[in-house]
Amino acid sequence: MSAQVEKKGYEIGQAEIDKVIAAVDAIKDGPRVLQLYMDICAKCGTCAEQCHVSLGDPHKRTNPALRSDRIRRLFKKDMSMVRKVASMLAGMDSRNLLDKDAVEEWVRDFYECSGCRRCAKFCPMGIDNSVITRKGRAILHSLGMTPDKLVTTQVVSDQTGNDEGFSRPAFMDVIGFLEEELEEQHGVPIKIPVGKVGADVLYVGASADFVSSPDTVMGYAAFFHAAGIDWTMSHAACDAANMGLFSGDDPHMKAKNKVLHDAAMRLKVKRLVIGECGHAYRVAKFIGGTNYWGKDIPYEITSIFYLGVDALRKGLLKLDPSRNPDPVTYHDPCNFGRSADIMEEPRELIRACVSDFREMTPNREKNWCCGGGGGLANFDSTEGVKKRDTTFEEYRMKIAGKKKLEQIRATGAGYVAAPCANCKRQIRQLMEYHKTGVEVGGVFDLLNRAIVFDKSSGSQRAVSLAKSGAAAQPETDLTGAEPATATPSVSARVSLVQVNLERADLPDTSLAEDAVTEPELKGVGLCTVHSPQGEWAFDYALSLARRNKVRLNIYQFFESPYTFQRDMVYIDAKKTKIVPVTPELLAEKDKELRFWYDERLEGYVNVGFRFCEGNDDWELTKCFKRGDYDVLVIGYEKRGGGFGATTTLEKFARSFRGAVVLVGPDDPHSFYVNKKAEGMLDRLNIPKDRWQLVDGVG
Amino acid sequence: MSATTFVGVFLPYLTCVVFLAGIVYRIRKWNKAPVGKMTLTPAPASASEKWKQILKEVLVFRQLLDGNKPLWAGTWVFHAALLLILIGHSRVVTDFPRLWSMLGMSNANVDSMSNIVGGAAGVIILVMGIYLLFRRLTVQRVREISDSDDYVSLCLILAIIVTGDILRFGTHFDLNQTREYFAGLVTFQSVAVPSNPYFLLHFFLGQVLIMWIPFSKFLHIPGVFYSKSLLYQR
Repeated sequence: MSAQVEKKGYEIGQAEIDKVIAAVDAIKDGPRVLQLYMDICAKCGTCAEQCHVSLGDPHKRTNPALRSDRIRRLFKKDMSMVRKVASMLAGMDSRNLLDKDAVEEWVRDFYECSGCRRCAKFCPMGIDNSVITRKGRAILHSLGMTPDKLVTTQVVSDQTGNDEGFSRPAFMDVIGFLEEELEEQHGVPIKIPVGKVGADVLYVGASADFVSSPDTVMGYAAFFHAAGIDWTMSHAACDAANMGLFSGDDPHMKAKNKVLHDAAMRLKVKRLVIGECGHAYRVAKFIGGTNYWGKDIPYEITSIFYLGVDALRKGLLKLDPSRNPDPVTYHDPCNFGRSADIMEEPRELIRACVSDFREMTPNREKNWCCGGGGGLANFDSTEGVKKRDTTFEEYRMKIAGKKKLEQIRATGAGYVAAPCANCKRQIRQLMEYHKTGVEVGGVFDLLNRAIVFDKSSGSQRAVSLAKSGAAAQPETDLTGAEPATATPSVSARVSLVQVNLERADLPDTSLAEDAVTEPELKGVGLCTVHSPQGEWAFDYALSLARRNKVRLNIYQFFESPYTFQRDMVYIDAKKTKIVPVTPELLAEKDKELRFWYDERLEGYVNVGFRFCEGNDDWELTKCFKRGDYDVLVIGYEKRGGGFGATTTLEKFARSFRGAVVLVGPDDPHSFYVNKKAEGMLDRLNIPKDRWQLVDGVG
Repeated sequence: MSATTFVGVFLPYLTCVVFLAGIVYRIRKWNKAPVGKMTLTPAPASASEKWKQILKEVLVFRQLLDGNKPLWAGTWVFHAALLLILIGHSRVVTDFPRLWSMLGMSNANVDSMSNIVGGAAGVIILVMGIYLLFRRLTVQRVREISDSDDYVSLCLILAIIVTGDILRFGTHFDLNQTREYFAGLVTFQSVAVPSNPYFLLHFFLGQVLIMWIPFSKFLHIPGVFYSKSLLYQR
């Protein structure tokens, strides 16, 4: 991993155009489905009436039939005599059907379709436009024209085995954190076994869940524990997401799927269970399972929902629906509804976990796509796609997500359960963008809240221990890493990089500060925000640290480009380059941060700098539990602003287990505090008339 | 070779050859092509269930009934009338005296039924055909995906309908003459070609349409079964 990996740019010349034409021509000897779709469309326009994109922006290019026609017309260029005559009369040469601009428009158009297959449900001819979309994407991929994010995700996945780029230590760190959280929430020790040979179940979800939906992962663990299922995760195979389905890159799809197959074989499990990730289940079950590895693989591929419902019916789960009092609605991910026939199982689980379940309409196989299907949910910028008049994020929020937004609003639900990493990200962003205040999570998040453990007997646990047997041996990773144990080890390169500024040559001016009033603070935390409010927060946090003579821990949260827990990261804001994370890179980024605050600290040396991932909530919780600080100071930029990947600043402040002070948003001496902070206002040195509780915004 | 001889003697054989060869070529190609798993769920549980569902969907245009009611009304009636008319055309080629006697119908009965049902169907299909063309021209989402192929095929059908309606309502039409003519065609005997110019035009356009089926969007007729069969495979 020493060489820098750069995404290839693309140039379109005659050679590329010829390549596209040749690929389209090859359809005539290609799969039956494509041959059919080239011929049988009657152009009735029904797909346009049933497509969320087409309805969201009734524009010529969003018409599904017209999008498919990009390939169809090219395919038929020599087939249709009528068209030949017509184009001759119009003075056009059929060879000019495709030019450089048209190829660039292909990228735009084929990445506006989310491949949700809803059109197939309503097409009188049974045409599934997503098949043509994927063909278009596959051709683009062969030209190196796939959007940046998809390409880099595939590179990261090829190198680390998972889309998030978790190294083994980072993964074990996450597992350890989740186990701690589980025990705190449920009062019983709940283990997450990793790499256990001979377990009954190998569980694999989307690696994105570890970053943005930890509650879902905890839900799985709590479920397996309660149901007494002998299960394991694997670091080598911790991600079932498969971008090859979206990019049309068949070799990648197969290679990624092989990671799961290999792990299932190596761990000698009886069942490979895919979690809340619709396309992952579709790939594993219907594409990988039978096509790639033969019909008689020695393990069964199934979904967590089948296991969940089974345990529920057997009465193995004690659930308290009153713990989920908010109205909950369920979003059928297209790959579960229209491609895997998993629709009733999640509903059965949710009904058992919540007190108020509401259907959105339409639902099940006729549900509207979230607007982020086909990999789009992960695209924010223009992703290197030329000819794009809007960013992918705007496109998803304003056009593709329009139907979903209306649908969710109509239910009046406070929580949308969407068991798919793609849908979760899209709907979460959609709810924030339109300030609905609706929470978005998985089905197993609800289960994690509702499940009740009998703390005295521990009988549920006994089942799982009895089943696991004594012969279980830890898995040895292919990478030659140490055998895994369920106990997390502190990694060599921990996720938080701490740099202490011990500058003995500078006088400690804090001695000259005012007399210390309440010496009980152990530390002050500050989340960096680069805005005036961020500066005010910094000033306040520094004065508080000085006053109490405690350490000021500065947390720099990087979204991409600096996600240091990963092995590969974007390094520039335009996201065109990815580099491996090396000690040199860490040192360089650390220096940048230090220089930024160096002068402003005015010689205060008791300062820690910490780089964190965009995974704010957990990282801060971890550091709080470790005693790095008792109060967290954050610049209050605007009301209802986002915080981390999943929530608003206000929501975060209200729910955080430690004291939080928000400084701003209108002047440096206005403070918004949460309940914890309210109880220690004196120590926080906040004047009486200057504060109020964080209100209900967002 | 006069136009009459071309349309009436030469073209029918060409039409048969082109149509049959084209369809056989297509179907064989579809049959040989690789098939991937792409089931659209929920899917029927067994093969017999699958074909039952496909037949049902094809007969009532189930998808359009769900997703596009105005089009459903227009196009279902259009196709149903077309089916009636095709059945009715069998009497142009030959007659079924045994069937009629089994049903207890006299020749006059059959003729008047044919007049009423066939006439109604001829009017209805014309109205629906015009509606479909009107829709293609005026509904923006349909207009933008329509190209020369779509207009030519619709206009061709309309021309066939119009000439057919002229034959039914406008001129006296001698069924015995056409029956003799078709019998001659089938047995490769030289028989006089009916000289009615509307018949010749109608027959010519009809043959053009039939020849065009294997090379155009009319492939949706056999294709819809293949396509749906892919979606509902288990």
